[in-house]
Amino acid sequence: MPIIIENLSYTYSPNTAFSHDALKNISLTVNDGEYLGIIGHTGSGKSTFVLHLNGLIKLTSGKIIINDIDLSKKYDYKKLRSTVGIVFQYPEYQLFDETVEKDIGFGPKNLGLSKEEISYRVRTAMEMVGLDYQSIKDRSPFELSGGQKRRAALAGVIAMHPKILILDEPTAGLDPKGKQNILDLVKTIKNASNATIIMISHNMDEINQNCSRIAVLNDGQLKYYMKPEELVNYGREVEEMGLELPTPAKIAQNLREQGINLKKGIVKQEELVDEVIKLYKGVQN
Amino acid sequence: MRDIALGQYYPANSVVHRMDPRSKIIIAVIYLVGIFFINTYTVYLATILLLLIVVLMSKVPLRLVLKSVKPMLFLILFTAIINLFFTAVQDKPFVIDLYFRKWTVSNIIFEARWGFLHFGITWTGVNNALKMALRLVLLVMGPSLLTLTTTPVTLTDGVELLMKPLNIIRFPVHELALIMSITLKFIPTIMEETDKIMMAQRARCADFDSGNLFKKAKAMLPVLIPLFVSSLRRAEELAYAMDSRCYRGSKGRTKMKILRLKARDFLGLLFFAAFLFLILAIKYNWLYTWFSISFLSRLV
Repeated sequence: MPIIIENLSYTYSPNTAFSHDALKNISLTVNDGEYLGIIGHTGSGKSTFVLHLNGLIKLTSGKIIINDIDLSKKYDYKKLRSTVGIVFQYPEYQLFDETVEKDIGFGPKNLGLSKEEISYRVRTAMEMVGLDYQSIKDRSPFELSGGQKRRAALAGVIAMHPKILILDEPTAGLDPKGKQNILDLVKTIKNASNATIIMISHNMDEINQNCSRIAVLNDGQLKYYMKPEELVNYGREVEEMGLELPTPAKIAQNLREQGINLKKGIVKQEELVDEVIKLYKGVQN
Repeated sequence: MRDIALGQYYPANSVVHRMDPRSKIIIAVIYLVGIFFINTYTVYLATILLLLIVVLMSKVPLRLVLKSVKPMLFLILFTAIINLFFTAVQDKPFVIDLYFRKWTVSNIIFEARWGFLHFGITWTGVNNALKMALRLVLLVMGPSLLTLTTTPVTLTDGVELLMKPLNIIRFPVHELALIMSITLKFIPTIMEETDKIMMAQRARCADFDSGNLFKKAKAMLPVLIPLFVSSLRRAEELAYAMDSRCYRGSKGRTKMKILRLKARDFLGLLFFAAFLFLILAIKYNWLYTWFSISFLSRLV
């Protein structure tokens, strides 16, 4: 069941000198199994937006319906939070328990699941994120390496089996290899569970890699909500918001400016390579 | 979580803001001591007026100063209610004393007996409750005005200078001041962090609001442990940052802003000294004693 959002607005500290409109009249629908990327620079309202989806910020104006749960009415928090999993920025800072196994089991335990079910979920979640169950389960989460900590924290959310998984800048502060690992991991999770993925980032390349649609937020407003190949047509507007186009699109743009006749709407790396090779062969012939 | 006004500076351009932190701290101490010696409502009223005048002079919105009472509200109400209901019921006349006038009324307002239980509300109780509440509110509002008009850095500078004489007995004044300023500076950061971690654990269905006190305390563990871990990490980073900028304690360290007492500081100090003297004079009837002595001596 999709996520339906209508006219969502939110104001921080209303009726005071510090009042600030974080979200302005946002409406969008996310289909089941979609991989949505949310992009916008710092303070654009990305985080405020996703916090609404989990009920962590109370809905004050507008409408949100997630999997038939209407957030504008009284609803079951546990049900919502087991449906929507959210991985925060630097999730490794939320680790707390004595062992990795207990920490990952924290969410499922709060859901009131049976011991066997919790243990099963912890094991499968750890396997999915690439942590060896036997050797790591009894270690303290604080002993793990940075990358392992982040995986453990991710497993803690996955173990709740969310139908919608939100990730707030999951690659922040990682080295390029670690970033790619996490992005690949998200893809694996998606393929395995067919969950809806919503990923926040301010790096267009990360979002471009896997996302089926991109929502561009600027100053609390939803500016664009479309497929990546459509978004590149608004290159200048996107760049004016202080965001960058995906690298392949930028290269294609530069080549076009040099007078090379590339087709429009190139966003993916393979696509660009194919097009260039095709053109090159055409020139040779 | 964000309602705690302590350590929240309100920037404005006023006499109170410009005053030397040392004189402000001393004035705050005089004020706090004074409050404990107030014994009549006339003086309470005068003190409230004085506080209001200082708030006006400081250009801080009164709402912000009142907000500082909010976290203490429960305690204040609790003590007031305890005083109201649990003052021993005695049927001796109660004297309403406004210093320049006195009334005597019958003490008991309401009385009930069930067997051994003797329960009642008396004027003494009302009096105790009201005075306690007034005293607590005034006690909280004064110092919060100090932190609202003084930046944590200036405040620490003031404390450090005031405690400097303790250096003679090798008391680590500078280090203590540093600890204080770091603590004050990190309060907002740690609050923000607490918020974030609580949200993260809430997203994992953690429940902080239900159950008894013991259960609630236990439910806070998933927040407190990461908070401690990150505070330690932050402390370590801060130590490295200070080290890399050659910080080596108080020895030979100079100040960027040198504090100097001005006329307004002396005026303020003088005024509050007079305020304390008046309160004490009223409490211990000095004026009365002195006047009668001089009057008598003239007669003789």
